[in-house]
Amino acid sequence: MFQKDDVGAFNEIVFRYKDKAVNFLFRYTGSRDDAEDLAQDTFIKVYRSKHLYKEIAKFSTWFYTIALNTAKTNLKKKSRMSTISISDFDPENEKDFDLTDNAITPDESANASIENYYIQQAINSLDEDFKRIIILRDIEDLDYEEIVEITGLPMGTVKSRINRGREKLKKLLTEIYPYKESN
Amino acid sequence: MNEEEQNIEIRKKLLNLQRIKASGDFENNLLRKLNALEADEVKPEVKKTGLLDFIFGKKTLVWAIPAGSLAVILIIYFTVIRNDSLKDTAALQNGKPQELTIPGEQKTTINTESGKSEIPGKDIANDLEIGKTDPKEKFMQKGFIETAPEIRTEKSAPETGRMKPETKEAEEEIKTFDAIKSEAPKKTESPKKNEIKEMPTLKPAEKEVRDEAKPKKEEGYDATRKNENVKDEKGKEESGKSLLPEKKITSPLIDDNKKKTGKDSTKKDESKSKKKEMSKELLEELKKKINENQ
Repeated sequence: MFQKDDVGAFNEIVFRYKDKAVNFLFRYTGSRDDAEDLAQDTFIKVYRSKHLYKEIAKFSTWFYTIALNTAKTNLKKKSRMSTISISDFDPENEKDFDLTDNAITPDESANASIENYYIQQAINSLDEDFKRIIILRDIEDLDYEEIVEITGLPMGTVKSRINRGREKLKKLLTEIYPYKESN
Repeated sequence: MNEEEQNIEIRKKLLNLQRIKASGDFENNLLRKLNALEADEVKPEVKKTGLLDFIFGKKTLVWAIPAGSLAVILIIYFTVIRNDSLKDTAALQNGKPQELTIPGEQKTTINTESGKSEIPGKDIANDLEIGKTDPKEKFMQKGFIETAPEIRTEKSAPETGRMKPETKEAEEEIKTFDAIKSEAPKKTESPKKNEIKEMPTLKPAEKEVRDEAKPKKEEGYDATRKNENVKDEKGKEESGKSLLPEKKITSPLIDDNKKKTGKDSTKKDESKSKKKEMSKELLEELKKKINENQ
């Protein structure tokens, strides 16, 4: 139905997957605005490339693949833009200032707990290869097979990266949020 | 130990993370983006078109096709055809003979002074076809006209004398009439005229037989007419130029019954006699004036 220009079917897809897409992309990018924009772009791509979808795979797998590729493309575009360090303008003070993530802060989100905030900070600091697999597996709760299809990596690589990613995340959380471990 | 169980605490933390939901206007923004993209795709691409595409490609310039063709036709007419016709008229006015060569037709030469072609019988045939022949000329060719008695009275004028023309134009007409009269025998020699228009001359014996066969009611009118014809034939025989074949013309406009009525015939005779008298008087006056001038 969706492939036969049924607007109702597309609206149903948007209704079902909009929260998942926004959540996945927020965890991947760390920015709510970027997540919303990328989710909309993902749905546009889904709508325009609906004829490419084949029913041999799960629709969720196909949808996450598109969302991940959209996020990667956006990240590449951002990385091309030269970021200027504030320390360049203050040669006397050699201390680097990291720009704060204004996407979500404890003050802005009343419901977001401090733990969630620091966990997100830890996820953002993960490497790209570990980050996407950890998000797909532990946040979106996808199967290994689905992650293999989405990432195109072998099963062993996916599993090893999941374990290594979790270890890195744990280490980061102990550094950023040490008192939690002690509790 | 299983891989999943190694860092199970971290997994639980990640699974229990707060789920981020889409904003309320997510769908509206999505629809806005979709419509904007579709509008961009619908925009027609501007193609570089040539002159032919500019004229024939657009529906808005459909009117230009007949207008352009009409303009071309007018330009050709005014540049080529009209100039040629003006040149021809200028040449005719200068008095130079011009050769007209039409493909598939006989070569004709026009004498610009007289305005007639040199091919014998050509002009008469053309004139008769067009209907431009002067009734005087017709009269000269036919000998008499049954349906035009008024012209016959004019014909009698040159024999007895000529009325004095009142104006110069009338004088010129008389001159042209003389010229036509002098050329008339030549034109009658054309085979076309004899074939189409003229009847062969009847012998005197045949005429008598034909006159006897006519009804008695016509005797009054026919008698006068016969006398006149006899006089005319005598005059022509004397001049030796009576080569004109006799032509019988029947006009559909004049009813035969009217001709046969005695009243009409007597009226006509009276009018003819009056006119003859008037012409004689005028001729006498003219003769007097000529003598006075001399």
